Amino acid sequence: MKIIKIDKKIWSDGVEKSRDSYRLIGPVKDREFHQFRELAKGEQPDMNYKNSRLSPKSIAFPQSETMFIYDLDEKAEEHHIMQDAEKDYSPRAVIGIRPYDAKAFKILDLNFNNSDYQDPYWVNAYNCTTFISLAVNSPDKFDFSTSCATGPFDDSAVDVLLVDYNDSYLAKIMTDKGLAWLNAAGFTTKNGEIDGAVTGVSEAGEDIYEIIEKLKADAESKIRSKISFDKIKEKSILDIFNAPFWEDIAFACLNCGTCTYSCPTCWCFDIQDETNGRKGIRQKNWDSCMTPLFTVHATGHNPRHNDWERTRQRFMHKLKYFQDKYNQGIMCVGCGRCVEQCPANIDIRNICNQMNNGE
Amino acid sequence: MSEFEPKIITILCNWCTYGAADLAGVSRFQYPPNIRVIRVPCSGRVSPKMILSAFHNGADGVWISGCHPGDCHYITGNYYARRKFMLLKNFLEYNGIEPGRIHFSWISSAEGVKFAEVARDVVESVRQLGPAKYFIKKELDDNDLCSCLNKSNPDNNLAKNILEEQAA
Amino acid sequence: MTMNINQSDINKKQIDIINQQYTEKIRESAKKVLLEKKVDVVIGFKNGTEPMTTEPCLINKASDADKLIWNEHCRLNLANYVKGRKDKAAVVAKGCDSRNLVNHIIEHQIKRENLYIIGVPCNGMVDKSLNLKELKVEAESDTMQENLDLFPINRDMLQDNCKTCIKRNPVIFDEMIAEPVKEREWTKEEKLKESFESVNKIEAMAESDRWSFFNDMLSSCTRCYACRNACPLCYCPTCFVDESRPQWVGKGTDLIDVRTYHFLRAFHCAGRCTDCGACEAACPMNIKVRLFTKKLDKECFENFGWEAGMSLDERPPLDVYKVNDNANFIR
Repeated sequence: MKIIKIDKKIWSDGVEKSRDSYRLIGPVKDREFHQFRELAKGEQPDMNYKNSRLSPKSIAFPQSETMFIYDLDEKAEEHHIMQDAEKDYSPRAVIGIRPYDAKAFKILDLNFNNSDYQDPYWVNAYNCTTFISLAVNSPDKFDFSTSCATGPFDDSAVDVLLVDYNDSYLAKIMTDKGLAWLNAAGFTTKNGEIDGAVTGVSEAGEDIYEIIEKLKADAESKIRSKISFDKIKEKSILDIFNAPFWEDIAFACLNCGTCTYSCPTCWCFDIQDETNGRKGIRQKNWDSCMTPLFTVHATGHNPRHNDWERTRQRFMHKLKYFQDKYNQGIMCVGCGRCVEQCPANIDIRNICNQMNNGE
Repeated sequence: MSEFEPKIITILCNWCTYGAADLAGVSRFQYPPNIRVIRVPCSGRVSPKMILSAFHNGADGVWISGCHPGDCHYITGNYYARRKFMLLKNFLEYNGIEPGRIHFSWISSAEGVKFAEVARDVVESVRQLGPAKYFIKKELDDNDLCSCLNKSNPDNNLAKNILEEQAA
Repeated sequence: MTMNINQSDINKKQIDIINQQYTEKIRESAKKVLLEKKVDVVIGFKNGTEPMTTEPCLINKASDADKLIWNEHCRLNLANYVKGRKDKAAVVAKGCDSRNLVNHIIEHQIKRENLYIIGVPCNGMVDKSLNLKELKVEAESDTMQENLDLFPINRDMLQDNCKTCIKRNPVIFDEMIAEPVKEREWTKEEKLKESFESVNKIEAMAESDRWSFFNDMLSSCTRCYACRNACPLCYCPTCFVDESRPQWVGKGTDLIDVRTYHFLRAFHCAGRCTDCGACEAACPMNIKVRLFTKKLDKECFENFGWEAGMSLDERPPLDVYKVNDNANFIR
């Protein structure tokens, strides 16, 4: 693993230059909040953003994605046949994504790309994306990522990890994909050499490692909220499922979709046909376990009829079923969006601890 | 513009205006063929969903007609409808729909002449406005290529600017 | 401008004292009604997990009553939490909550005799986005606390609907936990001008601007339906957005569908909305959804002289009619 130092003065030119071979995605302020979207020509990612309101999962798992197109007009060629919707999977780079939001992609990948099932839309979109992540120097008060096997400097799911350090970015190059983007941006030398040969770099090597480690320790020490889920795995599903605290926990819950839509690891979706005149599309839309429609049967029976059962489902899935099925920790990266945005203060940190420590 | 033939969704109550349409027909009164009639039991049956649905699906105008006050087959249906329609009309206009797109009338089954006359006026008024601009569902085959991301909004900050301008 | 609202000079200390008094009285009442078995449960607010957050909660044992609190962050409408309850419930209700309880009663969602209303004279709720804007949201809780101490409720800090509140004291109650606060005396003209100022501004725009204004406003909407779910008025067994035969609203992210949803949601609240602001308080994208409901409030006020939830003896405006109602828009 190599580290290079990129002077902030040449940063935006490099980003712009990488456009020759990449489509760029980054955080931009839209009204009150930041969101991740494709950057228009000349538009720069806002590297000073704190957090995006919605998670960047929509990059590869959009809220609404057209899969097929059909035409019911009998005069049309190939009418009544589903046609693949046109897609653009040319290389693209997402710049400034937070390390744990990138980590969330690994979690989504378990669901969308496994030995049983590969979702082509997800797989293609994920594979064509290079993750140029930005470490979080000062995590906000909702952040509990360090408890979730990731953290503000987690480099395990990124191609390049940028660390904001005074007048420059220290770039940890984690993969060849990451190196390729740095090459395209001109942050490396022409012949692809990395060490020391970069503009403004003089202290490559040990010093930089130490600097990063120090910044990392600083950032992690700022995170005050912790969760533990070590005991959840040992407990039986039914014990937690039938625990007495659920109705109490869920009382305030409005059963809106705020938490599931803002969550970087919520992956549930629904498939819908929409027609307009004789033309139609088949689309894949985000769904939310909070809505009654999510589980209602064709008979009208709903196994999760009560509001609180739907709230329970969300936390059981994230903190228990996922652990049991994949054995890879919990389905949460501790980004804190749901805690911050919940209108009724349903706090996953509390619930997790209660599931862990409750009877 | 003279080429433009508006499509108008017309929702008529079974007991009065639908009868008037019948009478206009058998009496051979001329009125433009731009209206598509939907028959409902009572003007009180009309829901705002139906109006928006008409616009979604390409209507250029909507015309709703029922019995005169006091003549309702269900005694009071159109009195309730009248309050609802007033709010609906004002709320549609608040949302940006032009005033001439949506029309209401009371026409009894004896008023074939009035039916033909109002039909002409409604069609003319919508024709003047041109094709519908708002609440139309987009063509489905014209989806964005990647459909991967929220696109930047061209109207960005327009609202803010307008409010700021007004405040100034 | 004659403002009777005394918030502007209430400082943080005074607010603290009021909150403490209210909290104590609420706990006392809750214990009393539970011990006397007047009710099965008490619905109120408890402290949230972060500073300046609250969470609706259900108390069924007198010994738990000390969880209850009151402060200027109790934004949600507790009338939303009693609909459909079969047991006897005590509800902590500020002015707008009580107006929604009136709505529930006249719409036969709950029975008056099953309710015990603990009335709270309301000093207004602080705008939720101030949490983020005015105060440094850092991990260090010390700085948070310092900032909190400098936190008075003045008019600028109130959420929008509280700035134009017409009923701060509960309309109906079984007991009041404090002396009523002073209500502002509005003339009809003042109401139309000041209370509906936001609506008037939009009405003054050109048609096409109004269309783009709302497009712009709603383009960040994710349709999480928090506004619908936070609203005490929304209790249809199947919401129109979930209806599939016919499907009135598409399920994707098409802006027209988003507009349709907001249009119809607001229309369903016409003549019923009490402007409690729970929808805006709940919206994660801070969309001003009240601009829709407020327009219909204005229509009802102007045309029918109606304000929702003020009396148990009157039917809502779309449930009644007058023979001489305005008909000048009908041919």
